[in-house]
Amino acid sequence: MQRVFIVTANRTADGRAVYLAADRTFSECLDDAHWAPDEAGQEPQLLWARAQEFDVCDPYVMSVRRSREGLAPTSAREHIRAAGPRWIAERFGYAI
Amino acid sequence: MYRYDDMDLRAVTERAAQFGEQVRRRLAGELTEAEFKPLRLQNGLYMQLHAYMLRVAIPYGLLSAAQLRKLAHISRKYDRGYGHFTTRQNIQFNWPDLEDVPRILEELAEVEMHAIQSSGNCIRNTTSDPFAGVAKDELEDPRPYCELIRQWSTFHPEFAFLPRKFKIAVTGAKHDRAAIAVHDIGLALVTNDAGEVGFEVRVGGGQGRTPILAEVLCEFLPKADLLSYCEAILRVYNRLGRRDNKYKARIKILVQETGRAEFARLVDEEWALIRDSGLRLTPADIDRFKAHFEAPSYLELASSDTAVSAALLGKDRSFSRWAMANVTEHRVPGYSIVALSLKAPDRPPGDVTHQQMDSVADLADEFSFGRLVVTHRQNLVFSDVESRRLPELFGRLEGIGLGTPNFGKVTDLIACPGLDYCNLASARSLNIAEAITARFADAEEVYDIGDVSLNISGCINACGHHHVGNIGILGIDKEGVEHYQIMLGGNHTEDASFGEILGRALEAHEVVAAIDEVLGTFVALRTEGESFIDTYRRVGAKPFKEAVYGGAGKQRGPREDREDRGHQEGPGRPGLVPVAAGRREPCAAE
Ligand code: SF4
Repeated sequence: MQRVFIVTANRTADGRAVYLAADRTFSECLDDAHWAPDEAGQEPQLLWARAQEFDVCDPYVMSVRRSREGLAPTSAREHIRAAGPRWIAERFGYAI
Repeated sequence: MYRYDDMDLRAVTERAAQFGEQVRRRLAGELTEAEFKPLRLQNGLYMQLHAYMLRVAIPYGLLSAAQLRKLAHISRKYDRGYGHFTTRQNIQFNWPDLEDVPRILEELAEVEMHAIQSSGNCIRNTTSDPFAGVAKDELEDPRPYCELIRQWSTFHPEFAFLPRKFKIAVTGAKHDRAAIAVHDIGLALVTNDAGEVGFEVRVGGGQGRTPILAEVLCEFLPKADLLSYCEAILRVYNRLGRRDNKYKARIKILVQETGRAEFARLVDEEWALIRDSGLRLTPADIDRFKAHFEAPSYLELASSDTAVSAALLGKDRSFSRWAMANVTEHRVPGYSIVALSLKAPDRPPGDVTHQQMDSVADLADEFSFGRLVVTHRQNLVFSDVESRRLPELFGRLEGIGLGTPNFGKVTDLIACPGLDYCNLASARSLNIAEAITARFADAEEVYDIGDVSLNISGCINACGHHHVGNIGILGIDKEGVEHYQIMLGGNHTEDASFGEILGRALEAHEVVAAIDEVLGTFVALRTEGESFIDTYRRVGAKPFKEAVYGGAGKQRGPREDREDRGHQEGPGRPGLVPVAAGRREPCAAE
């Protein structure tokens, strides 16, 4: 298990959480995120993401855990942000 | 209720068109997020954790059936089929796409609604007593004054960029159902020694990270001076309120730092300059506003006593429980005030589906002169129901899942959206709300516990009013893990108080057991007919602390092995979904 860093933002059109992928597209899937072993390593990606301010809002670098299963957030906030309020949708029969 | 005139209509329609152009420019890449953000906030549009959120203003909580139908339509067409009523008597839509928001605003304008000043550092929606106009203990209907304040404060050019947001609440009743002590300005209609009706003005109340009860600034303000006095307060605040520190920017901090007497002097000084300006209200002005809130054409009916007693004593236990908890005496004989609980076990607190909204609108037409009220405790109220029709209404409400007999009870809990939606949250609140609701599923037990308010906030901002819950739960983040602080002894009514922290913060899975212990302790210690808050005030925190954490110094945490009160354990526990379980899978599916 390794702590790595990725760039995330919210999409301008609908506000969804997105992650910057290696091919410089924004993906809704956390596992698609391009990661760097340290925060400084994400500086160019962050600058690039900031330049895409018409497509995404307020990009920032966040830390995640990298394991064989893929990338996983380290805080409750980022877990929920990555998953969407899925338990609520499932529990209360809301559309996802 | 107040109906828009041509000027109102033009203002909201033009605002929708203006925002449409701003959205177009944002989506076309002509505006950055930094440029767009203040514009969207002025139209109630937030960026939350997963999506935009649109907060629509419901002035003092009053809605017509036609407006509710429009909200149902908006949730169906532009959102995910539900809306969330908030503690500020507003409604929030959690999933609008940016390009749809101008169209939503146009649709709202069609029914005399908008999202203006529902966010940002301005004067927000004026809130009031949900029983306004019909409460038995009411001196005078506060809604004409709420409407006056609404019109004065909407687009007020001086107060568009205050140091921080500003909230005003008004009550006309003895029993404070509007929580005026925790508002920036709290107004209560009172009588002076000469028998005239005016306002007691409180200022500087609030919750958040620095909870402060409002102080009385003026014991009796003549009605004529309502707007000029409020304007004087706002001017002093606008000039002297701190803009250097967001956490010290609310008027409560200014009042504390200045001192009540000096603050009052500053307000009086300012007031002297404007008291006799165009802001002075004539009796004719007031009558014009009162005319919008004239009582509906009530039938001449026999007293409600027989109908209500029959309900209470009847064989139908569920109906009598509902009548006992959710029905309140009306000032007009033969009528009742009915609370529609939005705290059913199958729904997050305050949420309503589009089908429910449509059905409630139909029921409002049939049973309550086509109107309803949103309460600050996230329920709905039908103000004018013929008592003889209570059984029929109850049956219809049960049929749409809104007949839960828990108004004012432990499961009638307030919960803010918390970390499931909110960008500022530290922890979830809806999972805790759901778990507590599941634990207290037995209506008999809920009834036996009696009146108690349980309020949950997902962070220190306190939108869930945890400080003034008899039981308050505050979500905090401890190194990325959700924890919860329990507070006891808060109260939002005329003898308002803030809750005291009971002990160390608990993990999510410990919270239900803690609440169980707290209420179990209450039941064991109460005297005949004593409510939770009265027992707490009588015995203090100690027995509750011991019940939850064990003897002094043990800090063992709540017992989780209680089978006797029906509380479930293990990963299957309702509501307490581990955060990781929500992992998006497969990614591409969305
Ligand atoms: S209390 Fe905090 S988490 Fe809850 S809605 Fe307010 S800001 Fe969000």
